[in-house]
Amino acid sequence: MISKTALLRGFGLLRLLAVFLAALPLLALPALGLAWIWLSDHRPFWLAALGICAVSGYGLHLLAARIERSRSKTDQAEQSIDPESRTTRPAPHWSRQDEACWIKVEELAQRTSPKDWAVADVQRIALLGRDTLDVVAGHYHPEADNPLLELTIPHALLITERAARDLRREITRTIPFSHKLTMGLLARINRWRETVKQYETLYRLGRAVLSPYSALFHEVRRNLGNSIAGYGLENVKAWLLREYVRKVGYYAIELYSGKLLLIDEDPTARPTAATRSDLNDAGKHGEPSTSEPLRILVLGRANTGKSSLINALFGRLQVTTDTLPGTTQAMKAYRLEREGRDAALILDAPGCDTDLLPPKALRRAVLDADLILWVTAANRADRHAEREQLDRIRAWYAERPSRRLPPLVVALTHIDQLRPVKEWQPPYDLNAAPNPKAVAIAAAVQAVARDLNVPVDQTIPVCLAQGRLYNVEDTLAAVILELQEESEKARFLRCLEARKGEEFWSAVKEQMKTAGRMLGSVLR
Amino acid sequence: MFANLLTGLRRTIRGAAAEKDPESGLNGESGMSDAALNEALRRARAVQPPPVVWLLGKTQSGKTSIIRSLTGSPDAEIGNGFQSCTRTARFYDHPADAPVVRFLDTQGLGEVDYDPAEDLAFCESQAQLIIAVVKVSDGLQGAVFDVLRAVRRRRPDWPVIVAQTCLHEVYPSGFEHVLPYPFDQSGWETRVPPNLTRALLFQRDRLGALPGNGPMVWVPVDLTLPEDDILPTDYGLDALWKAVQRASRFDLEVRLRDESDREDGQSDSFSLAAHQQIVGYAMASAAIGALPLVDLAALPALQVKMLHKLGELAGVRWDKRRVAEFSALLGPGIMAGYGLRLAGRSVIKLIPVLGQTGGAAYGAATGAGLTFALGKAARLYLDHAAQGRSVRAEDVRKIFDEALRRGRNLIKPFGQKDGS
Repeated sequence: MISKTALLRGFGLLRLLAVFLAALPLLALPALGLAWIWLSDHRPFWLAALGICAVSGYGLHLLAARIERSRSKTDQAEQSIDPESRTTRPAPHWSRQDEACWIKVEELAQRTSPKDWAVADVQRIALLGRDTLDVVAGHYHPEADNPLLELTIPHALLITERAARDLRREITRTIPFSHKLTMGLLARINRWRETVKQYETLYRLGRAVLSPYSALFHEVRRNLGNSIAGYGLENVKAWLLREYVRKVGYYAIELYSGKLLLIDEDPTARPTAATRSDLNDAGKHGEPSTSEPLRILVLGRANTGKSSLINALFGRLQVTTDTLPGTTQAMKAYRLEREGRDAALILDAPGCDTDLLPPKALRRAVLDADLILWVTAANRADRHAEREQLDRIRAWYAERPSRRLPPLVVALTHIDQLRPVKEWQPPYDLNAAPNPKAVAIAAAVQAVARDLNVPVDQTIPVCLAQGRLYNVEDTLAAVILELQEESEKARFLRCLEARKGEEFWSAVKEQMKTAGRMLGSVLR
Repeated sequence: MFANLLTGLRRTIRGAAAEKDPESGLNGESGMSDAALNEALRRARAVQPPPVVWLLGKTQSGKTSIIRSLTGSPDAEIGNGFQSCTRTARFYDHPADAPVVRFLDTQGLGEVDYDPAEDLAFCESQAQLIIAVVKVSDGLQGAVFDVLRAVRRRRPDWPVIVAQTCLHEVYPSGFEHVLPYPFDQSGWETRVPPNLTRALLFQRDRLGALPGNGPMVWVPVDLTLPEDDILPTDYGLDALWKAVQRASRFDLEVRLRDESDREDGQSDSFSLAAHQQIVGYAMASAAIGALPLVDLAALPALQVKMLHKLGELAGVRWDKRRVAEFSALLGPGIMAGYGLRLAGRSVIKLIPVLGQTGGAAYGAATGAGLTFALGKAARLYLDHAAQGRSVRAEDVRKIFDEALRRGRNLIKPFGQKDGS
């Protein structure tokens, strides 16, 4: 480290003097002004101005405080969203369970106020962090006696590492000169402040003896000013505390929900084992893509038009279709490529009411999907089996709180068969139409949405009949695109689960290998 | 007596106030109150329930369309094709007042939130003929076929008709029905679109042979609404009639259709509906005649009700002039009638005497024959009256004579078969 004298010498003593001389007239101004006020007997005015400024400043501060209070009250009345800004927010890829936990953390943060937690007391702060951890751990392990301990050592180390890295980044970025502040300097500044405080009391006493009149004004101003600054400071402190709770909560959720991989990589960065095999299965040209594609699963009963829908989505013939059920014999993957990249993997399934799709295979396919495209025929009202199947799918996801139910889009096919049967003159405006066909289509959409328990805006009427292709490229594709973000969240959690499975076995393998080597070297 | 019958008719038509009047001739002599008549009808129905045709199929497969086409009655509610409308298994009596047949419409199999087990057991205990309805575009009919197999395992001799519906849904676009109806001739496979052939055969293959030895008939039909603009709207209905005739052990066709009504080339919905009403009332007359304790005053009251109903169907008001005209046409007819000579008495004396002395079975057949004959004569008269044409007395007499004979023969087998 460069010593201070060396710095001074480098700058040049004469130059330093020159700078001081240049600044001297300006520095002298306050002293001269004070002297003038004293001599010209304007002192009372000056003191009065001092007092008025202080009092009006205090008034403004009171007003600000009142406005803040009333605003937070109305906000609470409307929605329990506080006005303060938060830098730590729930991650978009979190599952419902994680989001529920985040709400608990947020509640805890709202309850935290500087009155209960002195910012200076390091031990107290640590306790607050522990409380937050308790909340999160309890959420994920309600059954455990001591939920805090429900994590592995490598994961605990990992979380320390991540939190420290995060904190370093933020301090470097937001606190000025933090990259130059040494710990020693901070300690010295603290010592200086203590000394100054001692002498300040002495100074104030002396002033009171020598000039009681002006001392009174100064004391008033000092107290008012302190109280204003103090209030603002309280706000900042509270914000810091809440942010602290949120930060701890965020990492705790990542930790306890098991989202942290020991390897430092985006889980969606490369294809999962299932996708690799499907890509091979899809065969065709080219090497597998570099990242995990979205997996779109096309499901529905036999003969509803699943394969036709895939053909329509690809815009060309990919899959054979037929009037009789059982044309699609097994699960088959198709690569949907855009600009030479794997945009999605579309999986065509046999009819879910046939023997070709056993429940086990269906379950695996469903849990490996990021979007489910459910194809149902408008001219078949017996949707009981379909509803059961969908409810089963929902139950599979409900059993797994760490996963997100992928978005579900219903493609309502065969709308050309609705009454009046002979009419087919698309486009049909379903919202405002005196056209009987459009009315029938709209009513069918409502009925299907109700029967299958899906939102109406995710029930898309399409026609796949030869020469009557309708609503696939525009509406259905647009809805799928709209849901892409949701799908990506589902994909993230799916990949995470796949990676964790891989990680478990690769870690065991690695550990066995190392242990074996050690054993070998000992024996040798 | 017969004069009383016609007086009663006139009074009924004239208004409910006169009917309710306790001093009116209707109640005093020939008639009886509506409540008493309905009670008699109810008891008659309990003794001799109409046969039940069970329509089995998934929701919106076209069961109600079949009821509608068989009965010619527009009362059966037709769905929109994408949403189920029959909420529970329910009886559809046809005609409503004096049913000749009872359709049992099951709530569609495969509907959301519906467990069919209980309904199916109930239907099985009631039915005499099953018509399974399968949409040809819906290849997988396992639920329906399983019920068919199970029923036939328990009742091996039950007849089964499988109607394959909605043919137009697998036509290529722009294709019309193949005419004449090809499916009752061999080689039809090559005359319809290949996809339709395959879909039809696929379903037949899926069901395979049913257990038991009862008849089983496959009938492709396409029963559409006029606004669907697919002509003819009752494609395959004749084939379905033939199948019903072959399969049913009760004469469903005789109950619902009378070919002799068509001879004058005036076969229309009135003839069809009138025939069903007449058979219904004739059967009710037979049942009432067989009831030992029912006052036979019910019989003329029943006939009044029938004539009233027929007048309604034809859109002809039974005013004083018409009643007089009809009785004038009928009067000699009855006196000279074969049926009366057979009975050896005048109609006026016939009915009260039967109530006291005649055997119940004899009363049943005669009462039913009379009702049937009266109804048929009224049908002819009303048909002409509605068109503003006059009718010759000998025609009415001829119809009456013939119907009296037919009616007695017609009702006898119903009674024997239905009771079994």
